[in-house]
Amino acid sequence: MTMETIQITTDTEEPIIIKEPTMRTFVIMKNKKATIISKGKIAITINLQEGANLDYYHITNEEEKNLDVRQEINLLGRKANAHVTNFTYGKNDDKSSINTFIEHAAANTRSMIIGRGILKNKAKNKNTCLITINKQALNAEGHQDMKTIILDDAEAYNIPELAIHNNDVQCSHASSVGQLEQEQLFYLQSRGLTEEEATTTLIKGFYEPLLANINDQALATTLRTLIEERP
Amino acid sequence: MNDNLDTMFGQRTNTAYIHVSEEGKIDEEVVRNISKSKNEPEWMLQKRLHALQIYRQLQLPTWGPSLKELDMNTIAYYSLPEATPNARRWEDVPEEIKNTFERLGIPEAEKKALAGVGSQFDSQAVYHKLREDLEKLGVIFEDMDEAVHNHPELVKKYFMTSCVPPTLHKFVALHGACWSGGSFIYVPKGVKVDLPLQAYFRMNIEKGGQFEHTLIVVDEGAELQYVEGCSSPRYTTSALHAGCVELFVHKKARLRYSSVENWSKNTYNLNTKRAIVDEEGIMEWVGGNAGSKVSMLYPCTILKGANSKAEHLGIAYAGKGQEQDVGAKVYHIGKNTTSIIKSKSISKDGGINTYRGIVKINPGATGAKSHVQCDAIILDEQSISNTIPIMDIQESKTTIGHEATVGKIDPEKIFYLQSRGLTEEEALKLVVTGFVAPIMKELPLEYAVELNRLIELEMENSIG
Repeated sequence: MTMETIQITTDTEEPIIIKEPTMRTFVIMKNKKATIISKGKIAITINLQEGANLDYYHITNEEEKNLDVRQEINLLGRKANAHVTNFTYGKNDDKSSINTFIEHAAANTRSMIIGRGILKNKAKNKNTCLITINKQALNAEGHQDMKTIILDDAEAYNIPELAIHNNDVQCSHASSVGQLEQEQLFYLQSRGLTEEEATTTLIKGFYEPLLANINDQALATTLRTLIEERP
Repeated sequence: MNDNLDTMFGQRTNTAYIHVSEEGKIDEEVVRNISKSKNEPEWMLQKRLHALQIYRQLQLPTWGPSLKELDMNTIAYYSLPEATPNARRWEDVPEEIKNTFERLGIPEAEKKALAGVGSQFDSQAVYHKLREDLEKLGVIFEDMDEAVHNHPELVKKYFMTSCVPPTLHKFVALHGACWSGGSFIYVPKGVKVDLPLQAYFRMNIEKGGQFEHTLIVVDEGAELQYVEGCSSPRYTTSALHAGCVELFVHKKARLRYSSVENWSKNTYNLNTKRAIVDEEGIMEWVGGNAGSKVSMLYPCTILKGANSKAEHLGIAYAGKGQEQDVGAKVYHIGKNTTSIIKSKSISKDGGINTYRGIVKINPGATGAKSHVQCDAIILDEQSISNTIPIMDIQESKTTIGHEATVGKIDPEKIFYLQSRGLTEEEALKLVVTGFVAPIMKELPLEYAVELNRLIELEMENSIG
């Protein structure tokens, strides 16, 4: 692994894509915007200065027994805004652990974490997600929305944590673990799809709405390609 | 805590104690003395000594609130007030103790023809009564100490065996060694108790330890509601409450266990509560936590049988200097098991509320469903609210959901109520009352009134 610190001083036109295992620190300077996409094993720290804007996507779909992801996002300046999306796909004996830490250290900061996971066969995933709102981070807003679909003998271990140290906040988290709707599977099969095709279609339907929300078509395509890299 | 509360709950009494164990001493001699003073059979003494051994081996928990200020060396592990054990008539209870209870409204509850009332003062249960018709149906409601003598076969089978073994954690082991008093209830097959049974525990001695044991067995197809209240006056040194509640809900049985805990604000409330539910059984928990300095309380349901259900409802209030580390645990083992957890917390004046819970779905527990909802409000800038819900899902044919919200009271609501003529303080109280109402209404009336009143009193003078 290599370690470097990168300062983002201008708005990024193209997303920064990290596909190799790395330890990396980014600093998004005042009022700048950045889109970052990462994949697989990674330890990333992103510090946001005043008014900085982060759009961060991470994809975990490696064939790996021991995949660790550590994402540390610090909202250091006022009005900093972070949007984090985690896509997780595990099959066979994959084991992954995704740890996201968001710290609100300044007033009027906002964060949103979305997690979508699909676990098949004997895949195991541990997902820890902690939002900390510091005492001085008045009028902060932090939300978590995690959904996991587990199939076969897969296992999910989710810990969505909130640590709130002042009262002028709005925070929420929602987390769910479930299976594909039997009725929907049945319906698709009655229309001529095999069980496997029906499953694939429903899984697509599970993450596609998030991609559809992205205005930047090129970005959505990049993400789709990365997600679907491993069937 | 404000003055009104002191008058209501914080009264010290001049009770005469006939036996107080030496401070901080917990060894074989103390345990043997406790057992001897209760005239216990040999098997119970052996159980105690075994637990003591485990207590010495186990370490304090490394997570959760700090227990640094809890000085285990100054706790009196056993204290016995001067009263005839288990007086059957209210008149026989000593005046001092009676006054304390009367201030808390306990005989009032009795007057209202509730099915039975048991009260415990420090280590001794002082008052126990059960409606006659229930006694005839074979319902047993006794002081735990009495039950050891009267129903050894039931106690041997259920007491700290499969539900809460002494090896669970250090405080349970301590409890196993020096437990005293508590309630024992047995509801025979098919008997439905129509009114709730009640018990009230009170810790009165300074630096006292209370280790009451509640054991409830609801046999096949039977139904029971049980209500427990707890309080203690205020002393300056730290006190310890390490009670234990073991509940057995057999096939098709139903149990509702409600408790309002209002220990004084120097008490470490390290309570252990667990239920095992068989096929088609239903277990409901309703709990309110307003007092104590530190609470660590995670009522736990083990859904062992197929189609069994659990519901956990809880309210926690943390004010100045208080840390409420509470939550719920549910283990889904049987097929098609369901659990619902709803938790509400209010943090004020620097109080810390932590929801800590776990939902675990074992492999093979197909069709399990669980929903967890935690809502928290923080009333000022010094207070803290944490949410730590663990979801450990090892079976794919399940549906699990969790939701939580944390925030302050919407200023618009306060403004609206003020525009309708309420003062800011009244408006705040009303909004908080509305926030906890969905759970409050599940509590029996007197307890809901007590808890509501407690929260209201805490809220007084909260402006400015």
